[in-house]
Amino acid sequence: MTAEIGQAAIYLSVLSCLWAIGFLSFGLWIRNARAIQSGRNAVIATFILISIATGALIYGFVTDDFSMKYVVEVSSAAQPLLYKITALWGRMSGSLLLWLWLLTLVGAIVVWQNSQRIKQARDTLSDYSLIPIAIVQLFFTILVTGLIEGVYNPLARFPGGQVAADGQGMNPLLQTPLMAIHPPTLYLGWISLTVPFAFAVGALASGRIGSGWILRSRRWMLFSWIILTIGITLGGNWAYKELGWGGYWAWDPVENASFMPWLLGTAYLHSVMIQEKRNMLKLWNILLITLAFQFTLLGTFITRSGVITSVHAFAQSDIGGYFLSFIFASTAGVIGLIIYRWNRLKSANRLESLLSRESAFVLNNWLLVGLTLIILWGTLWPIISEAINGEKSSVPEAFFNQVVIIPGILLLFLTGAGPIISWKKITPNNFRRMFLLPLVIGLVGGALVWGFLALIGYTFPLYSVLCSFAAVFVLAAIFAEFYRGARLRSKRQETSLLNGLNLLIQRNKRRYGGYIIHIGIVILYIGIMGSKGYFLLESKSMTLGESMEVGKYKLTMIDAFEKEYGNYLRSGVVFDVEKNGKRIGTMEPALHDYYKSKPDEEPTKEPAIRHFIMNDLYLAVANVPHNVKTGGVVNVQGFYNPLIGVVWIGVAVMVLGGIVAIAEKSERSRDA
Amino acid sequence: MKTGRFERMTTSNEFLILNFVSIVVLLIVCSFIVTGCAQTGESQVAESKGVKDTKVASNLEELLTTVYCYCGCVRETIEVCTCATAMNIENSFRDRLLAGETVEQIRTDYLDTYGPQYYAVMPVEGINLLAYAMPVIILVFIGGIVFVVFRRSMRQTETVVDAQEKLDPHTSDDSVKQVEAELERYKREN
Repeated sequence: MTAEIGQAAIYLSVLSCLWAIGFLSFGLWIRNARAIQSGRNAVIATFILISIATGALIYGFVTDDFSMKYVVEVSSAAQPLLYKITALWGRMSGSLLLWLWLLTLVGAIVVWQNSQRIKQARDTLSDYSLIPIAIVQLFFTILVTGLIEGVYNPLARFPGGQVAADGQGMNPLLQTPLMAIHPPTLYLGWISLTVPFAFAVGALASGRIGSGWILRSRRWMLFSWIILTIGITLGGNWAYKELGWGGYWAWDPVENASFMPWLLGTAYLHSVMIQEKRNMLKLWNILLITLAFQFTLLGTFITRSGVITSVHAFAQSDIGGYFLSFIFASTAGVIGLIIYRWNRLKSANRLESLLSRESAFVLNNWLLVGLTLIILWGTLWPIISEAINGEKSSVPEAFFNQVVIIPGILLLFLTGAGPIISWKKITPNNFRRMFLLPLVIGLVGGALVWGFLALIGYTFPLYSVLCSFAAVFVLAAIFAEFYRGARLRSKRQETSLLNGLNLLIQRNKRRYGGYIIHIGIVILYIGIMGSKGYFLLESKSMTLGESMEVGKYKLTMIDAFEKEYGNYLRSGVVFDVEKNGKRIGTMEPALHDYYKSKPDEEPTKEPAIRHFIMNDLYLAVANVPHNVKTGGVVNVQGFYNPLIGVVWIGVAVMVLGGIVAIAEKSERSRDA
Repeated sequence: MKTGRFERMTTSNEFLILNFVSIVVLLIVCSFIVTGCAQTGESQVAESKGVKDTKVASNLEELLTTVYCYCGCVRETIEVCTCATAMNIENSFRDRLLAGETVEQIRTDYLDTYGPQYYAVMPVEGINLLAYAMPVIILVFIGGIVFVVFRRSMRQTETVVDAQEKLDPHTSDDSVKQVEAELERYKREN
């Protein structure tokens, strides 16, 4: 009965979406407050209905309702409760339902935020922006109904009242705590990008193309950026801990799909500042946020269509065509509105100098959008090459590393240069005062890293030296900004420098939150430089008692084990770890064999990772035969991963900066 | 048309700075192009691979790092993939190298059997030239657009300044500074 209620809720939500679109459009057209209110209520109703449907599916999982097709596909009786719930997004249909639920939640929050505003002042921008949100909701609702080919309703039961004895269980790779939070986080990041996009469309439709829509959606954009940053990193962390190849980023199509909207969102966060400060780039900002939103759908298309091979192959289906159609249709709609409002999109001001903060932001946009298109090109290259010569080429990680490194380092340099260039025009005096010291410190930093790397045997580490130069330059520039501001505040308020720093950040959270993000980016770059450029890999086939060396660590295989857990068998080996002749502990790389629910699948790798301050020691095994204790051979891979912990620290600092920036309440409407 | 000593000084310095920045950027780009092929960001890897002959070991290394495992561990080279299939492939490659087969022979056999998509290297030749060239084209194209927009914008700014100067020929840097000082005083007083 619960499943039927859920299905009915989904069908009704199609109607409520149509109701919202119709009544909001009609109400805004004839300026009828009751019709508009009815449209708003329909958005809330959609949220309630989809919540009922989602709750019904979760109930099906928790109660092991094996009459439901989707429950059988992704759950089993022995599956732990946590993974029964996370099975909701274990496959296509459920993922779409989760996406839809988050989207309706976002829609309901926008309505609520607007209701808070209405008490202060009459506002139609939010109502206009609810229309595109409802249209996107309608698209996903139709997909979830199962009425179209390629995807079935996740609440559907087997025909003829059949009930399976047990479920097939979720993909073992997804049965990890990280997978319990990575997909919803990433989805939320993507979905919340819908709001700034909807506000842009709302601004075009209403003709209020000032910076009002930007200010109104600023927190949503920052929220999306923070959540995407966390989601992407969680994905990298999952790959590192679960896939067993010792890395966290391999330019997999799906990694790229999540990274591209992030890049565009970052570009947008910079370019909107030019519109706010100088009333320029109105058209560009609308195009940029449209592109960022469309790339979230493109990411779903890449993930789900199966046109490109990826680690997310488990999520493939035939719905790619629908996504592509929706991307084209919605882009055409935005272009139509842009043409309609063309005259209002002209910039009120002009660039006054090539050397100004505006120019730095434009260069930043050039590089970020360029990087996005380069990554898109590499991601789609297998399809393009197949179309040209009939052979599907695969694009190795090295290709991406090669093509993104130059724009990447230039971007890092701009991370420091942007904040210290003045608006409008830089004077020679300003250049000397702000740039000279960071440049000199940067050069010294680069030289020191060069010297250090030469000392340990790297003769021409050009990338590392340039990256170090740019990193030190950025840090010097930003710390100088913090110091100058904090000193000024402490003098004015006659307080300590630390208090001055606190006052400074409190005074302009957005600006200094941004600077903290830049510091995080520098730390991230340093981590990437170390972990990607200087890792060591050792492989060896070993028997009990044998040793291998990985970097400065000596590993001796001393034991093997097998242990039965709820729904899998864990088998592994024990290594004794020594560093410089001193024993520092043991490590236990293993395999998890879900032989009951997935007898045909290979066991999943469960690498053992030991974190040190400057590096990780990472061990993975390819096989653990039953006869290890009597001479069976185990194939072992050991990675020495320098500075990998710095990557996670860098991301944490970026998120912290984002939280500081989002705390600023600025909604001064400056509509044109 | 710009007037005033300060304006001229700013402009000339700006060009100096711009030239300096352009040269630095160009140097960086050239350095990367020159050394791009030499460094791929790959790590140092094991030398032995269970083979005593260093030439065979390095050939094995080349094989393992240039083909993907066909087991389903997507985009993992045999070097990195830790599945049992990868282990068997590695053993087979080692045996064939020890039997005297070349890297090319073994790799061609592998790719003929499993498909060209399992080649983990994109050689800079044939159709792949397009793949490598496009990132540069993309950056230059978008850069070109940015440059044109900059130029147009700058020209319009100059036109506006000229027009203002024509309207009020007596406006000088001194008078602008005086107005700014007055505004500053007004702000302070209010």
